Amino acid sequence: MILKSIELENFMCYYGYNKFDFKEGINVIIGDNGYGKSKLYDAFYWVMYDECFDTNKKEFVKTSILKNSIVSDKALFEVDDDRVKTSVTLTFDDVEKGSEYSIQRRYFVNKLEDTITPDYVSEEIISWKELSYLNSKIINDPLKIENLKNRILPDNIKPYMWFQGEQIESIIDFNKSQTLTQAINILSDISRFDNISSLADSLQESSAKEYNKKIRSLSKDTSRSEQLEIERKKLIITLKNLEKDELSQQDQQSTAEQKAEALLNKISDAQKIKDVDYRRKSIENDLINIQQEFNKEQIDLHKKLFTNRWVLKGTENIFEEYGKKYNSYEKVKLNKMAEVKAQLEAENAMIKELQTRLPIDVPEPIHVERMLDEEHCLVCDREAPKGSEPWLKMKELIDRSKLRIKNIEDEEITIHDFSNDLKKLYQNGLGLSHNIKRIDDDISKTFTNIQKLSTKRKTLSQDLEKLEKEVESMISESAIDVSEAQNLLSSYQSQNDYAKRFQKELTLTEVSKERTKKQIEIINKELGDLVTGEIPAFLQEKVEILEDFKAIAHSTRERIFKQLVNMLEEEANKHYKEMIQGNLSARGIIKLKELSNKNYMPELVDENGNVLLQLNTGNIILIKLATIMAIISARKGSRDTDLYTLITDAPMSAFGDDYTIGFCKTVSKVYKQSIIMSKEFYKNIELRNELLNNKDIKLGKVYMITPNIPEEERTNRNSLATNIKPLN
Amino acid sequence: MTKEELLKIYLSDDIVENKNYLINVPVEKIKWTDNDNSDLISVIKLAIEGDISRESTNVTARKINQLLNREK
Repeated sequence: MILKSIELENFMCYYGYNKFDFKEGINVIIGDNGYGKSKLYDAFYWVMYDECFDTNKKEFVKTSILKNSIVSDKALFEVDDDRVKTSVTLTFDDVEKGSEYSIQRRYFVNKLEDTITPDYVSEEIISWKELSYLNSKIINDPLKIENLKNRILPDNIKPYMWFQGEQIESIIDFNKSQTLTQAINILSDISRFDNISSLADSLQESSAKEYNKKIRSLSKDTSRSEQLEIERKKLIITLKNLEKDELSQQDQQSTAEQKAEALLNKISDAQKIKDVDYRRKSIENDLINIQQEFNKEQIDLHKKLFTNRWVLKGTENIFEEYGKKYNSYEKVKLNKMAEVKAQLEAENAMIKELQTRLPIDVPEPIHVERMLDEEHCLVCDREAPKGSEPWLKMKELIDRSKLRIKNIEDEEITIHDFSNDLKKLYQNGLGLSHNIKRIDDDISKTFTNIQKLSTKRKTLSQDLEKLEKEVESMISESAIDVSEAQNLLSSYQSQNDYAKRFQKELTLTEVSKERTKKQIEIINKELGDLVTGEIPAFLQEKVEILEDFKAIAHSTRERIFKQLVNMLEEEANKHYKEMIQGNLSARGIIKLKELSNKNYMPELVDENGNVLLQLNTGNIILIKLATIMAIISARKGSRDTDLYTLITDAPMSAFGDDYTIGFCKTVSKVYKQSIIMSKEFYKNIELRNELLNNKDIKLGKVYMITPNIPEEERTNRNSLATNIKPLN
Repeated sequence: MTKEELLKIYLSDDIVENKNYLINVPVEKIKWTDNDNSDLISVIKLAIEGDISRESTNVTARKINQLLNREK
């Protein structure tokens, strides 16, 4: 069936009535981020399944939870005390039957003043119209509705036909070993071979039981046979358990190998990022140290004015001048001292002379005092009136006792004696003046060091910037950040260790299995030896035939599965080659590698079969898309790609513009009808023109969607609507 | 896939050839309606038919047992 149109009324950002018509070929909805592409994808999904994909929760959410979030804000804002209807209608053309189906889902929200009451559930209306008679009727039968939806898109194909760009990772998840096996199982007849294999298993088991029972019944030693049978049964249980262990170990080993291999793609990048980051950190540390040293030098620069006496720079003359002044001061002082000394010597000489006439204190001062008071000399017994010569002589005797020899130290040379201070100052200055000679060297050395540190700091900053850019570019190329890189390396190591450990366990299990099988064989032989009569030929033949049937059933299943894998691989490569045509640097062949647990995983190899590592996200998405396309298109005779419409939102966002046209060409070849939402053609006008004019692309309808209000006003969604412009 | 195509797939297995279940008849020429050369072919046919007609595996197993339990 071909999807003719989608009509949206008040659905999310699609305010009012909106319609997109579609044709066979690739239909493209072009719009920038946030313009309503994903909402359109939501609309498709909502009509069919009553749910939308929640990008935050990464899961589909029912209308009953979404409620009025699916209703246009503008419609809800504009209405007063009324009911707002939201509806989406898909119209399908059943060309073969000449009829048309329409699936409508609608949802109502009541608004009374500012109170919004959303309905709990949505309504689904499905109608069928016979085009030749133009009579239309509503389909109510749930079984018919289910059948119709299954015709539009069967559940098992849904994940490969309707998906969003961000879901591609999980559709073909390299970390889930069952992914590809499941896809092959769903999309092929392999389940038929599985059914026949399990029938063969049960038939072989029951015939073996029947045979063993017969053997025991013909035994010449029944009790021994019974005992052997018990032992055999125990051994069979042991063998089955060992087989289970083996499967689980194979699974674990495969998972570990596969995880290690998946990591291997990134391990080289991770190692490089780790190395560069290590260098970055080391430079960062050096830079911190240098910066600290630089800061210290800057602070010390001011301190050194005093600690290293740089403040004295230019004071050489002051010291000289002071020296001179101090010298003249000392001279003056010495002269003055000489003068004072001479005067003292004269005075002292006179004192000495006086003392030589009569010894001091003779007569004793009390007698002299008495003589002066009585004005009478008792020595010569004569009158000595006050003021007379003899009285004055006696007075001199008293005064002479008060006279003493003076020292120069007793004399004041100057009024204030700064001599010592000035001397200290001179001596200090003398010491400092020696330092002045070294100040220039010291300053020069300090500034050279600062300059050196500054240069080193600049170089380290440049190195750091370079390494940071290198890390950033590596991160953006490999999509691994630094912490992830660390984790990847340790995860890679642990996965390899796990794989080795499980390999050892597997070897041990294999040995135990062989030993158990031998023990069973011995028992079987002994049981056979105990048989006395003849085992019926038909039973022997039955056992043999059913054993062969089991072996054939299993090997055929394996053969068919491998054929499917090869077919899938061939088909995936066909699509991959077509998609990478526009990019000369793209290379490689997709190889579906068989894992030790018999699951298959895609990998990219070169022409010599060597695995190509360091795939970027774009490569990986392309491989996945090619595989998804192959799953759908490889099913010979199924015409899945003709029957169902591919609807995908932003599948190309992960790979560059170089692949976009290749992808569109391939999609238009593989799928009869597809609807692609893309932002790649929005900004790149050249690419858009190529899409519209490339004859290799079977083009359906192309639309450009834009919001009706500028980006800066889009936060206010109460006026938001979407403009739809057909481009062809 | 038709039941004849399925039969041909099973009969293409090496065990069929190695154990001479098909005598002088190339697999490509085998028809569903041909007389069976061996019980193994009959068993495979019953299994295919059972799966295509979606009958229960117990019923198919019983049919196969009946076929093989015949005394010859």
